Amino acid sequence: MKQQGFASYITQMKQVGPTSMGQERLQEALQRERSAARVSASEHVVMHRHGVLPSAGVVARRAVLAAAAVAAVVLVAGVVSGNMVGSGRTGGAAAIDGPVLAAYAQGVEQADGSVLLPASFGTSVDWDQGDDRSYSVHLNMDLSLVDAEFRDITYSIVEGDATFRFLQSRGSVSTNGELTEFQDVKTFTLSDSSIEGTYSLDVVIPEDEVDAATDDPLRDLYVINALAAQKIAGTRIEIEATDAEGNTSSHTYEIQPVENIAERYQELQAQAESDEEQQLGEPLFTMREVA
Amino acid sequence: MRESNNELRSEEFMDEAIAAHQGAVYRLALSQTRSTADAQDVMQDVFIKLMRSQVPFRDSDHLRAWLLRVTINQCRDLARQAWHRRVEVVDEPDMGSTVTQDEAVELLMEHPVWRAMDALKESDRSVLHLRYVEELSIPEIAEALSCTQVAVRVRLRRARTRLRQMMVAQCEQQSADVPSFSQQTGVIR
Repeated sequence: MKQQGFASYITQMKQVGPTSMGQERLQEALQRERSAARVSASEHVVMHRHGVLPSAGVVARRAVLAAAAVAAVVLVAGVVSGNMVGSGRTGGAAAIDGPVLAAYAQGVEQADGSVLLPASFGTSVDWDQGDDRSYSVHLNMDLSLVDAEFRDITYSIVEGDATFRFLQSRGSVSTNGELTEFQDVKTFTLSDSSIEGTYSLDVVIPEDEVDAATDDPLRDLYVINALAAQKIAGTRIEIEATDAEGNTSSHTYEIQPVENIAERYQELQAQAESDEEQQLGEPLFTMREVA
Repeated sequence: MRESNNELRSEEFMDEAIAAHQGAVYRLALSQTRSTADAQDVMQDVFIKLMRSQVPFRDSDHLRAWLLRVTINQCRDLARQAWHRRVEVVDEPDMGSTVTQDEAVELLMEHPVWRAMDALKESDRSVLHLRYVEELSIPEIAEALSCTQVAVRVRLRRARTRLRQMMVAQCEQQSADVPSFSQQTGVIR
């Protein structure tokens, strides 16, 4: 490249900055945020006491989380004590340190230190095929936290090619509130952990990889699910959050599919195609906390 | 969504941070989004995140690295959420006249290097921008991009090569567009 041309580009770029109108808009935006924070601080206490009548599905999940909270004290303390990854500055001796995933807390510890996640984790899969014929696969995975008292929860994929999708449950949106949704992102932040929704890890599978694995991808859906699970293997998710005392800490988890995940998905597909009552079956994924 | 409490960063802190870093944030956002309007939106989002964040910054360099990393993530999210932004645009209150491109930006967007960088991946543009415009060191770029120093060196080398290729292709295209003397004087039957 011509050194002269690049040098002049650098000089011009360094002279660029936001206009005075842009700076004013920034200050106005910050003032709006401060005003909104002052209003919501008084509203939040009321919402927390009375709440909103949840759907049956939400009640079930909260019951699971409440039960898991007790188990989590024993499980998490046993699994992660002394190996806590988080960069927390502890303000107190909390039994559960930092943003712990509910699925991790509900899992079963294995001999190798990993946790076998609940059977529902990664069971629901949907996908679509793009114009380039590649498959965009979305594996629904519950990434909610055990504790509902965290705010500024940032999820980041720090290893792997997967992306996040989060769709807030419409029933959890207050009147005039804004629905929170993220798609195809490597990181996203929820303002507090009471926000309920559907999480998924998304991967893209080229058409030729699916063709190599099966003759009829429209019928052998479990093959696509298994390929997606293999692409998610080794994905590391960092979760950073701030507790009620203002302390920020984090955990990083690595996800791995079980060894015979293709067979497990095939069983689920056979079940779905038959008249049998749907049962979750065996777990599909393991998780470990990593440094 | 709204904060659960009002513990936001002080106005004094925000004023200092904006004075020190808004230029870098805006330039990086402009380099990534290729749009002054989007760069303005990203800059707003970044400083709102800063105001709401509780990260204890060691020093100004740490703050700058955090801001640049958040800026890159915001740009990436913006590009992948075009449908979401269309909904937000409809719902936004009228803020009067929009940000207009000033002459400096207009000149910049006519520069051949700017046009060549249009064809680069966002990851290539970001390392080139941080290295040559913001003059960050390799370790500083690694911190801003949350990657290893080795990865930064590899990406810089690749980005420079690709930009060079784009510039050459641009020059060749410009030459091809101008008819040669023989073509101009040829007789068409």
